[in-house]
Amino acid sequence: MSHPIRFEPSADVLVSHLEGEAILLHMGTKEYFRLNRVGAQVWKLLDGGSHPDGIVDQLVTTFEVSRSEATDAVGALLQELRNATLIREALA
Amino acid sequence: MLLGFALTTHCNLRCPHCIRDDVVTVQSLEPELVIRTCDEARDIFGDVVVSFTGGEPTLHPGWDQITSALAERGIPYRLVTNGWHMRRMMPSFDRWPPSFVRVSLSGATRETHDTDRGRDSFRRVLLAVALLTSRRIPTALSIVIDRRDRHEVRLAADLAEDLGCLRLHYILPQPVPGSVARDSDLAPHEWASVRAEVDELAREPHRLTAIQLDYGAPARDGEPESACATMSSERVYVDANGRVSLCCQLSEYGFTTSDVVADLHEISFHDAWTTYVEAMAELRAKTAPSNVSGGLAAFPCMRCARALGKLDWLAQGRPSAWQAIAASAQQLGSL
Repeated sequence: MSHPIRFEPSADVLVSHLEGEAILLHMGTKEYFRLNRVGAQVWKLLDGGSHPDGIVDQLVTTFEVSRSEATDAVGALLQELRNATLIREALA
Repeated sequence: MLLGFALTTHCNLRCPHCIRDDVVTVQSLEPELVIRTCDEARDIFGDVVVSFTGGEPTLHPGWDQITSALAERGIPYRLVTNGWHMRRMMPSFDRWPPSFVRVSLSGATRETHDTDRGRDSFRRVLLAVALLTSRRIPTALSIVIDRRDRHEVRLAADLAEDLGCLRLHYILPQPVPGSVARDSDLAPHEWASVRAEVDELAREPHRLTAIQLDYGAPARDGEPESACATMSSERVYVDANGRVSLCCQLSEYGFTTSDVVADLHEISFHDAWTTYVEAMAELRAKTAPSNVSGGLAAFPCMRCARALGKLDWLAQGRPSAWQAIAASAQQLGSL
Protein backbone atom coordinates (compact mmCIF):
# COMPACT_ATOMS: atom_id res chain seq x y z
CA MET A 1 0.00 0.00 0.00
CA SER A 2 1.13 3.59 -0.57
CA HIS A 3 0.89 4.87 3.01
CA PRO A 4 3.43 3.09 5.16
CA ILE A 5 3.45 5.69 7.95
CA ARG A 6 0.78 6.20 10.57
CA PHE A 7 -0.07 9.75 11.63
CA GLU A 8 -1.67 11.29 14.70
CA PRO A 9 -3.04 14.73 15.54
CA SER A 10 -0.45 17.17 16.82
CA ALA A 11 -0.70 17.92 20.51
CA ASP A 12 -0.95 21.62 19.58
CA VAL A 13 -4.26 21.20 17.79
CA LEU A 14 -7.71 21.79 19.23
CA VAL A 15 -10.65 20.32 17.37
CA SER A 16 -14.38 20.80 17.52
CA HIS A 17 -16.61 18.44 15.55
CA LEU A 18 -19.88 19.85 14.26
CA GLU A 19 -22.52 18.30 12.05
CA GLY A 20 -20.72 17.41 8.83
CA GLU A 21 -17.53 19.33 9.51
CA ALA A 22 -14.72 19.96 11.97
CA ILE A 23 -12.94 23.13 13.01
CA LEU A 24 -9.26 22.85 13.87
CA LEU A 25 -7.24 25.44 15.72
CA HIS A 26 -3.46 25.24 15.84
CA MET A 27 -2.49 26.56 19.24
CA GLY A 28 0.97 27.51 18.10
CA THR A 29 0.12 29.51 14.99
CA LYS A 30 -3.47 30.33 16.08
CA GLU A 31 -4.55 29.42 12.55
CA TYR A 32 -7.98 27.92 11.95
CA PHE A 33 -8.82 25.13 9.52
CA ARG A 34 -12.21 23.89 8.45
CA LEU A 35 -12.58 20.28 7.39
CA ASN A 36 -15.55 19.15 5.34
CA ARG A 37 -17.49 15.97 6.04
CA VAL A 38 -14.83 13.71 4.52
CA GLY A 39 -11.98 15.58 6.15
CA ALA A 40 -13.71 15.47 9.51
CA GLN A 41 -14.15 11.72 9.13
CA VAL A 42 -10.47 11.32 8.26
CA TRP A 43 -9.54 13.35 11.33
CA LYS A 44 -11.66 11.17 13.59
CA LEU A 45 -10.03 8.06 12.17
CA LEU A 46 -6.55 9.52 12.60
CA ASP A 47 -7.42 10.45 16.17
CA GLY A 48 -8.61 6.91 16.74
CA GLY A 49 -5.24 5.53 15.68
CA SER A 50 -6.17 4.34 12.20
CA HIS A 51 -3.46 3.68 9.66
CA PRO A 52 -3.89 5.48 6.31
CA ASP A 53 -4.79 2.17 4.67
CA GLY A 54 -7.58 1.72 7.18
CA ILE A 55 -8.77 5.26 6.55
CA VAL A 56 -8.97 4.56 2.82
CA ASP A 57 -10.97 1.41 3.53
CA GLN A 58 -13.41 3.38 5.65
CA LEU A 59 -13.86 6.11 3.05
CA VAL A 60 -14.52 3.56 0.31
CA THR A 61 -17.23 2.01 2.45
CA THR A 62 -18.76 5.19 3.86
CA PHE A 63 -18.71 7.46 0.83
CA GLU A 64 -18.96 4.87 -1.95
CA VAL A 65 -15.92 6.10 -3.86
CA SER A 66 -13.32 4.04 -5.67
CA ARG A 67 -10.21 2.94 -3.82
CA SER A 68 -8.12 4.98 -6.21
CA GLU A 69 -10.11 8.15 -5.50
CA ALA A 70 -10.03 7.54 -1.76
CA THR A 71 -6.28 6.88 -1.80
CA ASP A 72 -5.59 10.10 -3.68
CA ALA A 73 -7.89 12.11 -1.42
CA VAL A 74 -6.40 10.76 1.79
CA GLY A 75 -2.86 11.27 0.52
CA ALA A 76 -3.55 14.86 -0.45
CA LEU A 77 -5.28 15.66 2.82
CA LEU A 78 -2.52 14.10 4.93
CA GLN A 79 0.03 16.15 3.04
CA GLU A 80 -1.92 19.35 3.71
CA LEU A 81 -2.32 18.49 7.35
CA ARG A 82 1.38 17.74 7.66
CA ASN A 83 2.34 20.97 5.94
CA ALA A 84 0.25 22.88 8.47
CA THR A 85 1.80 20.78 11.31
CA LEU A 86 -1.66 19.69 12.32
CA ILE A 87 -0.55 16.04 12.33
CA ARG A 88 2.71 14.29 12.98
CA GLU A 89 4.12 10.83 12.47
CA ALA A 90 2.89 8.54 15.19
CA LEU A 91 5.59 7.45 17.60
CA ALA A 92 4.52 3.83 17.69
CA MET B 1 -31.06 52.01 21.20
CA LEU B 2 -29.19 49.05 22.60
CA LEU B 3 -31.62 46.91 24.56
CA GLY B 4 -29.75 44.74 27.06
CA PHE B 5 -31.24 41.65 28.63
CA ALA B 6 -29.74 39.50 31.35
CA LEU B 7 -31.37 36.43 29.86
CA THR B 8 -30.66 34.22 32.83
CA THR B 9 -28.77 34.23 36.10
CA HIS B 10 -27.75 30.65 35.38
CA CYS B 11 -24.02 30.20 34.81
CA ASN B 12 -21.83 27.13 34.73
CA LEU B 13 -18.89 29.09 36.16
CA ARG B 14 -18.30 30.76 39.52
CA CYS B 15 -15.85 33.54 38.73
CA PRO B 16 -14.76 35.32 41.92
CA HIS B 17 -15.00 38.71 40.20
CA CYS B 18 -18.63 38.16 39.12
CA ILE B 19 -20.67 41.25 39.95
CA ARG B 20 -23.93 39.42 40.56
CA ASP B 21 -24.77 39.05 44.25
CA ASP B 22 -26.56 35.74 43.85
CA VAL B 23 -24.97 33.23 41.50
CA VAL B 24 -26.86 30.24 42.86
CA THR B 25 -30.54 31.00 42.22
CA VAL B 26 -31.55 30.30 38.65
CA GLN B 27 -33.88 32.93 37.25
CA SER B 28 -34.51 33.26 33.52
CA LEU B 29 -36.45 35.77 31.50
CA GLU B 30 -39.60 34.55 29.83
CA PRO B 31 -39.16 34.63 26.03
CA GLU B 32 -42.52 36.36 25.71
CA LEU B 33 -41.33 39.20 27.94
CA VAL B 34 -38.15 39.65 25.89
CA ILE B 35 -40.04 39.73 22.60
CA ARG B 36 -42.80 41.99 23.89
CA THR B 37 -40.22 44.41 25.28
CA CYS B 38 -38.37 44.47 21.96
CA ASP B 39 -41.60 45.29 20.14
CA GLU B 40 -42.42 48.09 22.55
CA ALA B 41 -38.88 49.43 22.40
CA ARG B 42 -39.10 49.60 18.62
CA ASP B 43 -42.28 51.62 18.95
CA ILE B 44 -40.41 54.12 21.11
CA PHE B 45 -36.95 54.19 19.59
CA GLY B 46 -37.29 52.92 16.06
CA ASP B 47 -34.35 50.65 15.42
CA VAL B 48 -33.08 48.62 18.33
CA VAL B 49 -30.17 46.24 18.79
CA VAL B 50 -30.43 43.55 21.44
CA SER B 51 -27.58 42.47 23.69
CA PHE B 52 -27.77 39.31 25.77
CA THR B 53 -25.80 38.88 28.99
CA GLY B 54 -26.37 36.91 32.14
CA GLY B 55 -25.33 34.71 33.83
CA GLU B 56 -24.40 32.76 30.77
CA PRO B 57 -27.01 33.67 28.15
CA THR B 58 -26.45 30.56 26.04
CA LEU B 59 -27.89 28.51 28.92
CA HIS B 60 -31.32 30.07 28.49
CA PRO B 61 -33.73 27.24 27.64
CA GLY B 62 -35.71 29.44 25.24
CA TRP B 63 -32.74 30.66 23.22
CA ASP B 64 -34.03 29.46 19.86
CA GLN B 65 -37.50 30.85 20.49
CA ILE B 66 -36.06 34.25 21.31
CA THR B 67 -33.50 34.52 18.52
CA SER B 68 -35.88 33.21 15.88
CA ALA B 69 -38.41 35.86 16.93
CA LEU B 70 -35.74 38.54 16.66
CA ALA B 71 -34.81 37.26 13.21
CA GLU B 72 -38.45 37.45 12.10
CA ARG B 73 -38.46 41.09 13.14
CA GLY B 74 -35.08 41.90 11.64
CA ILE B 75 -33.68 42.84 15.03
CA PRO B 76 -29.95 42.14 15.30
CA TYR B 77 -28.63 40.64 18.50
CA ARG B 78 -25.25 40.22 20.14
CA LEU B 79 -24.14 38.41 23.26
CA VAL B 80 -21.48 38.10 25.90
CA THR B 81 -20.50 34.52 26.68
CA ASN B 82 -17.90 32.50 28.51
CA GLY B 83 -17.57 30.34 25.39
CA TRP B 84 -18.14 27.02 27.09
CA HIS B 85 -21.19 26.02 25.10
CA MET B 86 -20.22 27.30 21.68
CA ARG B 87 -20.17 23.94 19.94
CA ARG B 88 -23.70 23.21 21.09
CA MET B 89 -24.80 26.68 20.01
CA MET B 90 -23.46 26.54 16.46
CA PRO B 91 -26.55 24.99 14.80
CA SER B 92 -28.64 27.80 16.32
CA PHE B 93 -26.08 30.41 15.28
CA ASP B 94 -26.13 28.97 11.76
CA ARG B 95 -29.90 29.55 11.61
CA TRP B 96 -30.06 32.89 13.43
CA PRO B 97 -26.55 34.30 13.54
CA PRO B 98 -25.63 36.96 16.09
CA SER B 99 -24.25 40.22 14.78
CA PHE B 100 -21.44 40.16 17.31
CA VAL B 101 -20.16 37.88 20.06
CA ARG B 102 -17.94 38.85 22.93
CA VAL B 103 -16.12 35.98 24.64
CA SER B 104 -14.84 36.67 28.13
CA LEU B 105 -11.46 35.84 29.62
CA SER B 106 -10.09 35.84 33.16
CA GLY B 107 -6.53 35.72 31.93
CA ALA B 108 -4.49 35.66 28.74
CA THR B 109 -2.87 32.33 29.52
CA ARG B 110 -4.33 28.93 30.17
CA GLU B 111 -2.90 28.84 33.67
CA THR B 112 -4.35 32.18 34.77
CA HIS B 113 -7.69 31.75 33.05
CA ASP B 114 -8.30 28.17 34.13
CA THR B 115 -7.37 28.94 37.74
CA ASP B 116 -10.47 31.13 37.87
CA ARG B 117 -12.74 29.34 35.43
CA GLY B 118 -11.83 25.72 35.75
CA ARG B 119 -9.87 23.19 33.77
CA ASP B 120 -10.40 23.28 30.01
CA SER B 121 -11.93 26.77 30.06
CA PHE B 122 -9.12 28.47 28.15
CA ARG B 123 -9.20 25.82 25.43
CA ARG B 124 -12.94 26.31 25.11
CA VAL B 125 -12.52 30.06 24.65
CA LEU B 126 -10.01 29.54 21.86
CA LEU B 127 -12.24 27.00 20.16
CA ALA B 128 -15.24 29.27 20.58
CA VAL B 129 -13.44 32.02 18.73
CA ALA B 130 -12.41 29.55 16.01
CA LEU B 131 -15.99 28.32 15.60
CA LEU B 132 -17.37 31.85 15.39
CA THR B 133 -14.69 32.92 12.96
CA SER B 134 -15.40 29.88 10.77
CA ARG B 135 -18.90 31.40 10.33
CA ARG B 136 -17.53 34.91 9.86
CA ILE B 137 -19.39 36.03 12.95
CA PRO B 138 -17.63 39.15 14.24
CA THR B 139 -15.95 38.24 17.50
CA ALA B 140 -14.32 40.12 20.35
CA LEU B 141 -12.52 39.07 23.47
CA SER B 142 -12.86 40.79 26.80
CA ILE B 143 -10.56 40.35 29.75
CA VAL B 144 -10.88 41.34 33.36
CA ILE B 145 -7.68 42.92 34.63
CA ASP B 146 -6.86 42.58 38.30
CA ARG B 147 -3.86 41.63 40.42
CA ARG B 148 -3.81 38.07 39.06
CA ASP B 149 -3.33 39.01 35.43
CA ARG B 150 -2.09 42.61 35.55
CA HIS B 151 1.08 41.37 33.89
CA GLU B 152 -0.86 39.81 31.00
CA VAL B 153 -2.22 42.99 29.43
CA ARG B 154 0.09 42.75 26.44
CA LEU B 155 -0.35 38.99 26.15
CA ALA B 156 -4.08 39.51 25.86
CA ALA B 157 -3.63 41.94 23.00
CA ASP B 158 -1.35 39.50 21.21
CA LEU B 159 -3.80 36.64 21.76
CA ALA B 160 -6.72 38.62 20.36
CA GLU B 161 -4.59 39.63 17.41
CA ASP B 162 -3.44 36.07 16.72
CA LEU B 163 -7.00 34.77 16.89
CA GLY B 164 -8.23 37.38 14.44
CA CYS B 165 -10.63 39.04 16.86
CA LEU B 166 -12.09 42.33 15.77
CA ARG B 167 -11.85 43.86 19.21
CA LEU B 168 -10.37 43.35 22.64
CA HIS B 169 -12.02 44.93 25.65
CA TYR B 170 -10.12 45.39 28.88
CA ILE B 171 -12.32 45.54 31.95
CA LEU B 172 -11.27 47.05 35.27
CA PRO B 173 -13.74 45.29 37.55
CA GLN B 174 -15.45 46.94 40.47
CA PRO B 175 -14.77 45.26 43.81
CA VAL B 176 -17.10 42.44 44.84
CA PRO B 177 -17.07 40.25 47.96
CA GLY B 178 -15.23 37.51 46.08
CA SER B 179 -12.46 39.78 44.88
CA VAL B 180 -12.10 41.48 48.26
CA ALA B 181 -11.89 38.11 50.00
CA ARG B 182 -8.99 36.99 47.85
CA ASP B 183 -7.44 40.45 47.61
CA SER B 184 -7.35 40.44 43.81
CA ASP B 185 -8.60 43.98 43.17
CA LEU B 186 -6.20 46.50 41.79
CA ALA B 187 -6.06 49.56 43.99
CA PRO B 188 -7.77 52.66 42.58
CA HIS B 189 -4.48 54.37 41.82
CA GLU B 190 -3.36 51.36 39.76
CA TRP B 191 -6.18 51.79 37.24
CA ALA B 192 -4.42 54.72 35.63
CA SER B 193 -1.38 52.64 34.76
CA VAL B 194 -3.61 50.01 33.12
CA ARG B 195 -5.24 52.74 31.08
CA ALA B 196 -1.83 54.02 30.03
CA GLU B 197 -0.67 50.56 28.96
CA VAL B 198 -3.88 49.86 27.05
CA ASP B 199 -3.62 53.24 25.32
CA GLU B 200 -0.06 52.42 24.33
CA LEU B 201 -1.05 49.02 22.91
CA ALA B 202 -3.92 50.59 20.99
CA ARG B 203 -1.50 52.95 19.30
CA GLU B 204 0.81 50.20 18.04
CA PRO B 205 0.57 50.47 14.27
CA HIS B 206 0.76 46.77 13.45
CA ARG B 207 -2.37 45.82 15.36
CA LEU B 208 -5.48 44.94 13.40
CA THR B 209 -7.52 44.15 16.52
CA ALA B 210 -9.11 47.27 17.97
CA ILE B 211 -8.14 47.66 21.59
CA GLN B 212 -10.15 49.53 24.16
CA LEU B 213 -10.64 49.95 27.86
CA ASP B 214 -14.26 49.58 28.89
CA TYR B 215 -16.00 52.40 30.67
CA GLY B 216 -15.33 53.01 34.34
CA ALA B 217 -11.73 54.16 34.58
CA PRO B 218 -10.86 57.76 35.38
CA ALA B 219 -10.62 60.08 32.40
CA ARG B 220 -7.19 60.67 30.94
CA ASP B 221 -5.32 63.65 32.32
CA GLY B 222 -6.59 66.82 30.75
CA GLU B 223 -9.59 65.15 29.12
CA PRO B 224 -13.16 65.72 30.28
CA GLU B 225 -15.09 62.71 31.50
CA SER B 226 -17.58 61.41 28.98
CA ALA B 227 -20.94 59.97 29.95
CA CYS B 228 -21.40 56.23 29.64
CA ALA B 229 -23.73 54.77 27.01
CA THR B 230 -26.40 54.16 29.63
CA MET B 231 -26.41 57.72 30.90
CA SER B 232 -26.34 58.94 27.32
CA SER B 233 -29.60 57.05 26.75
CA GLU B 234 -27.99 54.83 24.15
CA ARG B 235 -28.61 51.70 26.20
CA VAL B 236 -31.29 50.40 28.54
CA TYR B 237 -31.15 47.20 30.52
CA VAL B 238 -33.56 44.56 31.77
CA ASP B 239 -32.41 42.12 34.43
CA ALA B 240 -33.16 38.40 34.61
CA ASN B 241 -36.18 39.12 36.81
CA GLY B 242 -37.75 41.26 34.12
CA ARG B 243 -36.99 44.53 35.85
CA VAL B 244 -35.75 47.67 34.13
CA SER B 245 -32.53 48.68 35.86
CA LEU B 246 -30.59 51.92 35.78
CA CYS B 247 -27.38 50.08 34.89
CA CYS B 248 -26.36 46.60 33.79
CA GLN B 249 -23.09 46.97 35.65
CA LEU B 250 -24.85 47.77 38.92
CA SER B 251 -27.75 45.38 38.54
CA GLU B 252 -27.91 42.69 41.20
CA TYR B 253 -24.78 44.20 42.71
CA GLY B 254 -24.26 45.61 46.19
CA PHE B 255 -27.07 43.69 47.87
CA THR B 256 -29.74 46.28 47.13
CA THR B 257 -32.26 46.72 44.34
CA SER B 258 -31.99 50.50 44.35
CA ASP B 259 -31.16 50.35 40.63
CA VAL B 260 -34.55 48.85 39.76
CA VAL B 261 -36.96 51.25 38.13
CA ALA B 262 -39.86 49.05 37.09
CA ASP B 263 -41.01 45.47 36.79
CA LEU B 264 -42.05 44.56 33.27
CA HIS B 265 -44.32 41.88 34.68
CA GLU B 266 -46.40 44.67 36.16
CA ILE B 267 -46.19 47.55 33.70
CA SER B 268 -45.44 47.96 30.03
CA PHE B 269 -42.06 49.01 28.74
CA HIS B 270 -43.72 52.18 27.47
CA ASP B 271 -44.70 53.15 31.00
CA ALA B 272 -41.41 51.93 32.46
CA TRP B 273 -39.49 54.14 30.06
CA THR B 274 -41.12 57.29 31.39
CA THR B 275 -40.16 56.35 34.93
CA TYR B 276 -36.69 55.34 33.79
CA VAL B 277 -35.97 58.68 32.13
CA GLU B 278 -36.87 60.53 35.32
CA ALA B 279 -34.82 58.22 37.53
CA MET B 280 -31.84 58.41 35.21
CA ALA B 281 -31.95 62.20 35.22
CA GLU B 282 -31.90 62.13 39.00
CA LEU B 283 -28.98 59.70 39.09
CA ARG B 284 -27.09 61.72 36.50
CA ALA B 285 -27.39 64.85 38.61
CA LYS B 286 -26.55 63.02 41.82
CA THR B 287 -23.40 61.47 40.41
CA ALA B 288 -22.01 64.40 38.46
CA PRO B 289 -18.32 64.75 39.35
CA SER B 290 -19.02 68.20 40.77
CA ASN B 291 -21.46 66.68 43.24
CA VAL B 292 -19.08 64.10 44.67
CA SER B 293 -15.95 64.70 46.69
CA GLY B 294 -13.20 62.39 47.84
CA GLY B 295 -11.31 59.67 46.05
CA LEU B 296 -14.31 58.18 44.26
CA ALA B 297 -14.93 61.37 42.31
CA ALA B 298 -12.73 60.22 39.45
CA PHE B 299 -14.42 56.81 39.11
CA PRO B 300 -17.75 57.18 37.32
CA CYS B 301 -19.17 53.68 37.87
CA MET B 302 -18.14 53.71 41.51
CA ARG B 303 -19.81 57.09 41.96
CA CYS B 304 -23.03 55.57 40.70
CA ALA B 305 -22.58 52.51 42.88
CA ARG B 306 -22.18 54.66 45.94
CA ALA B 307 -25.07 56.93 45.03
CA LEU B 308 -27.30 53.86 44.79
CA GLY B 309 -26.12 52.55 48.14
CA LYS B 310 -24.28 49.65 46.53
CA LEU B 311 -20.95 50.09 48.29
CA ASP B 312 -22.22 49.78 51.84
CA TRP B 313 -21.11 46.14 51.98
CA LEU B 314 -17.48 47.27 51.50
CA ALA B 315 -17.43 48.68 55.02
CA GLN B 316 -18.08 45.23 56.44
CA GLY B 317 -15.41 43.47 54.40
CA ARG B 318 -11.70 43.15 54.97
CA PRO B 319 -9.75 46.41 54.79
CA SER B 320 -8.90 47.41 51.24
CA ALA B 321 -7.97 50.46 49.24
CA TRP B 322 -11.49 50.58 47.82
CA GLN B 323 -12.98 50.43 51.29
CA ALA B 324 -10.94 53.42 52.34
CA ILE B 325 -11.73 55.43 49.26
CA ALA B 326 -15.46 54.64 49.46
CA ALA B 327 -15.53 55.69 53.09
CA SER B 328 -13.86 58.97 52.22
CA ALA B 329 -16.39 59.86 49.52
CA GLN B 330 -19.04 62.34 50.41
CA GLN B 331 -22.11 63.37 48.61
CA LEU B 332 -22.26 67.13 48.20
CA GLY B 333 -25.36 69.23 47.97
CA SER B 334 -28.87 68.11 48.70
CA LEU B 335 -29.47 65.91 45.67
